[in-house]
Amino acid sequence: MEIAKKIALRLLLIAIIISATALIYKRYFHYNFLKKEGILLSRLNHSINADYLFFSASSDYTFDPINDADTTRVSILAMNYCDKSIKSIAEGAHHAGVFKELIKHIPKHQIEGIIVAMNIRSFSPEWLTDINENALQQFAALYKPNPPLMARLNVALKNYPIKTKRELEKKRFEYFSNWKLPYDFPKNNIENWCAVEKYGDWRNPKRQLADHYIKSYAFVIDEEHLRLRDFDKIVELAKLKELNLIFHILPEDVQEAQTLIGTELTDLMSANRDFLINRYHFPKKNVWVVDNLEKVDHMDFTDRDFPTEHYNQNGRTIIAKSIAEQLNAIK
Amino acid sequence: MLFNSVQFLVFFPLVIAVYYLVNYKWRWLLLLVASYIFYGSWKIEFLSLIVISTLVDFYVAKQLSQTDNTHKRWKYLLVSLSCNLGMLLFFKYGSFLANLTLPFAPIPDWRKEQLLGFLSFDLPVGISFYTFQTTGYTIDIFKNKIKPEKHLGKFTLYVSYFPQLVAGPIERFDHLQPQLTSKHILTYKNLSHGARLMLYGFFMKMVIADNLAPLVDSIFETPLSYSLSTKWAGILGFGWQIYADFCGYSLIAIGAAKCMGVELMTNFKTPYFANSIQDFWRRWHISLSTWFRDYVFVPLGGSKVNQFIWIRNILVVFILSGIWHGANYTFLIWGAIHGVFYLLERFVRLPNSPFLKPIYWLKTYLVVSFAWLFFRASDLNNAWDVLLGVNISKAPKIIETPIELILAFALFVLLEVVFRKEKINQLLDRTPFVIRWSGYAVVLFFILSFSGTTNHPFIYFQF
Repeated sequence: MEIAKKIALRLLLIAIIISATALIYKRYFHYNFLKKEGILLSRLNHSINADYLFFSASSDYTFDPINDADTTRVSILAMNYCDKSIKSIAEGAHHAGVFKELIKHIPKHQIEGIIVAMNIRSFSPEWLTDINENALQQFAALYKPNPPLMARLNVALKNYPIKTKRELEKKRFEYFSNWKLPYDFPKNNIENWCAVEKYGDWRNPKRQLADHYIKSYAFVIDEEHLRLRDFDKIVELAKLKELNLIFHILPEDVQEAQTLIGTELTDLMSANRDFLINRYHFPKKNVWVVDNLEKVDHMDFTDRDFPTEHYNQNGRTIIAKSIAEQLNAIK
Repeated sequence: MLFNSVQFLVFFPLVIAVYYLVNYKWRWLLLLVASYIFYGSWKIEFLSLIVISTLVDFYVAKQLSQTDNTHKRWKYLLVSLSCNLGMLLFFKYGSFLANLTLPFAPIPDWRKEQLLGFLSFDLPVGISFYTFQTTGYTIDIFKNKIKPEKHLGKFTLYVSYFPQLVAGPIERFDHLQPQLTSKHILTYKNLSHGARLMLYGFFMKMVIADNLAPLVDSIFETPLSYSLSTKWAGILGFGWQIYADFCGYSLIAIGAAKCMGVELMTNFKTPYFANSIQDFWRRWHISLSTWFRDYVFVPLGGSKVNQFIWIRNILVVFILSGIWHGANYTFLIWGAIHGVFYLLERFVRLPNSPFLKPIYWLKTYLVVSFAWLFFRASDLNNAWDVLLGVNISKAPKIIETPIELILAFALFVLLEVVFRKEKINQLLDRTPFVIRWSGYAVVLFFILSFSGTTNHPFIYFQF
């Protein structure tokens, strides 16, 4: 009995220390911590006064500041073509899995809506099993709507899925061989499909680039795809918070895909785009999908040695106009 | 399951509660199940290795106890050594050895690639620790130092006892096993002593090591972007990182066991206060250095041999302990530096004066830190770049050290100075309640508010 009393008293003391720490941390330290390690949430907390929040990744800003005459972000450019104020919540390589946690923080009736980038490449096995995914899971854990000290502890105690490089590689090769494609061998899955017959040896840079395109776009998005769960959650949250939701499908370098591989690949890209539009475009439910997949010309992509969604000023302006057009159309 | 994880924070109190609730006769079974859950949570496949090691050593020990035939005894010992060291070699050095030898093998390239692919897997966590522990057990039986455990379940628990399973301390059978099966009564003293050690261990790991890790990583990953002074700060930083990381783990392990009434051996005794390399090794990873002393150095002849053999024995032990960390020349150099300076200190006798102690301390600290450079570097080129590589950028990158890390580090050094003279629990036992709890509050505040956030598992898990 004596020992139970002693333990209970100590547990009470520990509870008091933890409560006091939670208060002190929230008051004096969390703001600086977010500025350093949770920049998107920090940005979101300062952006609640806008009409629309723009959730995106590196496609929002320039990746070629030297050659770009104008380095304005898509989210800012869009404001030139509509009368809504838009604030950017964008950070390189982020995807819907992180955005959904951030959207949970938006208070009801504070803003009109959200614009969320839909990157078809983020559905690919390469992206799903990228080592960067561990860092993104860490962000997602930090952005969960928990009290500040608990959010921080979740990250410090690694309370999120962590995979080793080898585990991720193994998973990637599983996807490469298990995800079926609607073609005959050798194009029946990513593992078998390579650009060897067209460009020969892998030392040929064209062959390397072509293979990157296959790995990035040769897949079929179906109802079972993991990434859809994130977009579904975003739809659910937008409905709950009564927000207009605009998904914009990011432009991909379809012309380059056509040149390097051919219609077999671009058909898959189009089919995936159509699938996403059919699944999510419901204006009556305040969800719109803006199709920008083929809107940007090959010349307006800034990267040449890897498929990316990095555009020059002209490319970004085209996207901005397209989004603004949709915003103007919303009654 | 990591110690610094939500899972462990639920798992451990639950195990402790059930441990004291069940009849002591069945506690071994509870601990065994808990240990297998703890280890299996990494990867269930890894359990098969620990089972193999356990069964082989249990069987070998039994056979050893039943025969006096020297030839047979050697045969049994060889079975155990080949199984344990074979597993260790295969998982730890298989890929390295294949890379060295395959280019000369008369087989087609695709087959070589296939073999290399087969050999590239995640190292089973803690394999070096439990294979050393079971190997030590079998050697002790072979030398008739101890009697074998007759109960397979209890022996399995000795091999897999979860607090020390994956990163030590490497325990001896005659020290750990009787404690695992004896009756421990729930006492406030055991709980509080254990909890204190765990609290300080978490502080070392989560606040000090995990905050230093990204700074050190950044310097070692791109050494040419930093100035020489920053790089040296990185080397010293790594010394503190690995100490806080490993000693932190050991303290949590010792504390967790203490809560169950089990005393594990001390693994660190404020090593950075050592005045010589010999002194350093009396304070650093004590369970491994004593293991090497008893199972490598002594069988090689120990100190009772001529000077030439003795020098060879010392170098073998240090180089082996270097290679034990992994298949890389950097570890070999790390071990060799310690070995060479150990010998130098023995041959160049310095005057024993209290006034010279600070100089001896500084010399030891610098040698140990210099050796850490090789331990941390990914390869010899990387070590060279960190040590002397010329900064190629016009403006070297600056490491920003957050104020909370500076405060935490100051607190850590202060506590190290305090604990140098007296053990944590001895000191805290005679400290008044209010001061003691104020101390706990500060340490807990640092853990909760300033723990590192990047993903850095315990460094010694990879060994």
